[in-house]
Amino acid sequence: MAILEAEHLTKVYGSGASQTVALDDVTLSIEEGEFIAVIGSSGSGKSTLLHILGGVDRPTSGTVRLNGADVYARSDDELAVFRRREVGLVYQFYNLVPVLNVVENMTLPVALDGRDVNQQRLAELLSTLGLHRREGHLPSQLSGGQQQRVAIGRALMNAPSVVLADEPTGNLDTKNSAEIMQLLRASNQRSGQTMVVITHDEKIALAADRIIAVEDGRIVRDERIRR
Amino acid sequence: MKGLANYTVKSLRVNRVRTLVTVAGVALAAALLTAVLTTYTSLTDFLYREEVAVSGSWMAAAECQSDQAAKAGQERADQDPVVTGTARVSDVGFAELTHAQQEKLGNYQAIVSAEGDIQQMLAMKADEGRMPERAGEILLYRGWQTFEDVQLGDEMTFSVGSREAVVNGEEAVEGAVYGHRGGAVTESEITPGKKLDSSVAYLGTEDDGSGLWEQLVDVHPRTYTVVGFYDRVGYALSTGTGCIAVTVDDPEATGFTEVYLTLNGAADQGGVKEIAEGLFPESTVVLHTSLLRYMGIGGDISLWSTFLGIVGVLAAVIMLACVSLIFNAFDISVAERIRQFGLLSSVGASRGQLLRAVLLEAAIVALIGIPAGLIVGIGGCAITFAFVGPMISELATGGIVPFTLDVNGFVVLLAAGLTLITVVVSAWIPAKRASRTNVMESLQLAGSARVSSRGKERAAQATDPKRLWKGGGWNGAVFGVGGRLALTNRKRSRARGRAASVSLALAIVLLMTAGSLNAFLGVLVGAVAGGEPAGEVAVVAQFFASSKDAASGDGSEGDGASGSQAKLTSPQALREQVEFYGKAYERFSQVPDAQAKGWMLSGDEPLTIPEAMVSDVFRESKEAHSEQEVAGKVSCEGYVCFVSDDQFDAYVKGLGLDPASFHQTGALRAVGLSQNYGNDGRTYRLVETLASPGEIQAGEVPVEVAALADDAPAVSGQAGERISLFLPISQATSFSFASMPPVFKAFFDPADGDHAALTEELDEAGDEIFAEAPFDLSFIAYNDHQAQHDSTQMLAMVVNLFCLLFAVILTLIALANVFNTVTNSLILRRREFAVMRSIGLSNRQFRSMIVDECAHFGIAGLVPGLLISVAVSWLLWAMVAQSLSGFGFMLPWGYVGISVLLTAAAMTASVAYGMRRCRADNVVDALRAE
Repeated sequence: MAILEAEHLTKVYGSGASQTVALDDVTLSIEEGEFIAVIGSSGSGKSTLLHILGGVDRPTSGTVRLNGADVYARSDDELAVFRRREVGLVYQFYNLVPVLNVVENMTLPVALDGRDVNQQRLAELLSTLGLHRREGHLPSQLSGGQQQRVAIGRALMNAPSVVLADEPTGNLDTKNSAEIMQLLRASNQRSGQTMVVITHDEKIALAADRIIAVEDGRIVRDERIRR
Repeated sequence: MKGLANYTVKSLRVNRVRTLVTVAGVALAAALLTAVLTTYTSLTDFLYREEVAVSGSWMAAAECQSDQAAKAGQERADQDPVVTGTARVSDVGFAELTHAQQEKLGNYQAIVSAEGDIQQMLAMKADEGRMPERAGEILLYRGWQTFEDVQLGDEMTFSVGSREAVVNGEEAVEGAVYGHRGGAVTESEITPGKKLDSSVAYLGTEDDGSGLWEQLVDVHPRTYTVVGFYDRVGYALSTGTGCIAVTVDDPEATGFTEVYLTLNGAADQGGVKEIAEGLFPESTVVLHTSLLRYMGIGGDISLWSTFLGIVGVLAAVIMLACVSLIFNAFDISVAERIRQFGLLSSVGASRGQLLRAVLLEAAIVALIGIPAGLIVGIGGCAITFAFVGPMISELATGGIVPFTLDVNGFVVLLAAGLTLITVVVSAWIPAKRASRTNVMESLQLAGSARVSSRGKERAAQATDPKRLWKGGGWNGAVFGVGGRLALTNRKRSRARGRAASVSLALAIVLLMTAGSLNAFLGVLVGAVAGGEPAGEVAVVAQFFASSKDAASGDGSEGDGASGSQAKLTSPQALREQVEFYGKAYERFSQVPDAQAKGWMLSGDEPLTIPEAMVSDVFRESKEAHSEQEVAGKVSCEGYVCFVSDDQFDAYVKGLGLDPASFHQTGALRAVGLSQNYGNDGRTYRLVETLASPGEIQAGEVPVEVAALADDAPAVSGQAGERISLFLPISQATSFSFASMPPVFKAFFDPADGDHAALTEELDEAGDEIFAEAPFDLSFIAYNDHQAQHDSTQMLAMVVNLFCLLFAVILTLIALANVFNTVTNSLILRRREFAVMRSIGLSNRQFRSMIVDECAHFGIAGLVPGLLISVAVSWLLWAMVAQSLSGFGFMLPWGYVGISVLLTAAAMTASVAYGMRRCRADNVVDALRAE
């Protein structure tokens, strides 16, 4: 069953002579539980696609549906709630809040939702992510790999339907990259979370269920590798 | 360095807006400093030129007892390279004057013989005709033409003699204060037969109880041709006996001589005096202190210390304001480029190179901003003086000496230097920060530099899952998770919000400085100018002290001869004056368009007061003295004022007293002032005078001081630091003035507002009214107080204009600084805000967070800002209080309110703008931003 659908997505930046078409009429359907790798050269529009799917950037035209509901029919506040609860975002450069420690960064979406922290879930994530001795550390006190784990923890804290990761290993060494991808894969397999990961790494791409290649704002290849 | 120089220049070009803002800040600093200093030098220059025009350019004067001694000293002076000019004025003699002439021209006509550049050095100029050029020619005071109808070319014969002291008994009178000459007071021993020179005041021709008087001896005729008249009486043109007449090369100029000197090379007044005393060891040396002060050679008059002090405080405040503005600009610039500095360091730039790169930016900004600021500052002064200069000139010199811009090279250099210091100081800390960039920290995108060590400790402790995102105090209660996020930011970040708090505090300080300056200078101007007049036009008159028509107190008639003329101070004469003046007031009141405002009779009277009734301050002041050494009593010269009954009754009713109790027959009851404004030549003071009611003696008359008041009746005005008593006019018939007839003053307002026309109409009516006066009129004047008041208002307006300009510029600096700091502190956190928005921070939560943060650093700025404002306000008051004692410190609360409101408005606008910029950001772009 399709959990995430995009129809005729277009994203245009600028106007006139400086107009750039980042996405050009992209239509896409993602099944629940899929682990998808999105590949493409720099400037191909893959990050734009990810951000639009994640409710972070409005498309110029087209629709995105998550569980059948039109994402961009929501108001800004409703979109904020959407981003807290229904998607989890992981970025290449971690994007942690510098004055919040590990547990605070991880539980921020919960706090924004005004709910109590699920302590068991937190403990599990800390353990799984190997952060159980670093709860009180600030991002500046963590290595790159550790920071990315925190970012993943934040993305998973609310157990969202879809996790979108924009080159999550782009800033990491091989060992850390492998560990991060292992974590994402594990979460996908254990919880059935749908994962969409942008990557330049061929090995990571080949480990996915499906590869979508984006070029000049269009999907040029959409290949299912394993079922 | 060359490579980094390119980087520096490119950085400035890329961030054009910020560069322009910084250049503008530097230019503003230079402009303000130049304006303040140029105003000071222009004012000093004006006052110097005014003093030279009125009293001459002489710096020291040596009083020599003989012309011979003077010549010897002058020869020494002419050979001394330090002396740049000399002039000599020698007594020729004193001419007898008739009684009528004495009333208008002085007790004698002193004749002096002058030599040297007396026009420049002594401001002796012929306003009509010319200066005397040979013996036998004379320059007279204009009064001779006005009152005696003397004309140019007339031959005048004076009976000229020498003044000789007459002492009662054989003993000398020691320590007698006998000279008042342009403010200089000299004392000497007066022995019988001592010759009295032009510096000695008139001792009178009969014993007035002091045992000392004078006579004119060796009287002989001298004839002169009148060649000129002078109008303005400066220091050298007045003597102890009246205005002088000037001749040259007079053979009888062998006596008392004053030699005037101009010098160079003296650093202070002590140095000037030392030089003069060295040249004239046997003489008394007098300094031209006011001129020396304007030349920058010492000074002791508090008003000048006040202005200098205010200039100093203003310069310090300006520099502080501009340091903040420029510091913030550089700080933000460096913060935004911290990664770039990290990169430069990672490719081999040394700390010194990075430091110099930022300082080079500062130098470039200064190179552009300082000259621009100097031009704007001087130009601004030129434009301002073009408008207010004529007013100042009119106020101070009647338009004779123009108030012009004085551009002093030293001042320009000083302003440029101070601005450069301001820029270097402002850029130093950001430059050090740039040079100390930790490569790894700056290249990481976690914003590590923003967390303090204490913040790290707090973060390490905040790990209990049960307590995560709980609490937050009222922040959490009011602002929800936004408030908790704001609280966490505040507690853990290194300096977040501090720059904004500092700029807010500074804004309040700047605005309060401007407001306090306006408030305190306004009080000073008001005190200098005196209070509001009772009416726009006043008629002032006084009869002669003795008159052939006066009846003496014992009923005998005077015979008109000097010395046996009856005085108008007898009770009978006073009764006649009261009756006449009352009727005159009624007739003046009938002049069309005249609205009567009241009248009064007043005069000085010796008072004897029990010590317990006067304040300690007054008892110790120079006003009080014990001539008669009566135990337990204080003797002094007081001011007794009889006010028209209706005005007096309204006055006492206002004090909560029963007017009827002051109209009892046979018993004189007065209201006394408990305080009075005075001026001792240095300071304007509010002096406490009477401490309690009681019985006093006014001359020979007992008076009960029934009550005390802080303020005089409106019709009376200020009377200096003397004991002042007020009684109703109907009681004047029970009084007598001991020495002089009282002065009559009546006040009127023009019904149609034309005070100049009313003055003329009263003048015309006065001719007829006073033609029927029972006694000889000493003087009558019609004073257009409104015109004088307008002059004072003009002075106040000039002061206010300067304060307003200063306030506006300071306000602009303050508010620009707040805006710059607050908006940039938000914009620098765009990325952080984008992260939070990307994970679900709603607009409302974002707003709550920012409002909470800004409220806190607003209060963090408000409290120290107000405290520092009080301190700066007190400093300004202390400067003003040097010239105005008795003026207690009071915080100008109105300006406190305005400062807080304006600053809050600026902050609100800044936050709104900053938030709009952040919200308008595309989250994706903000996340990518470096």
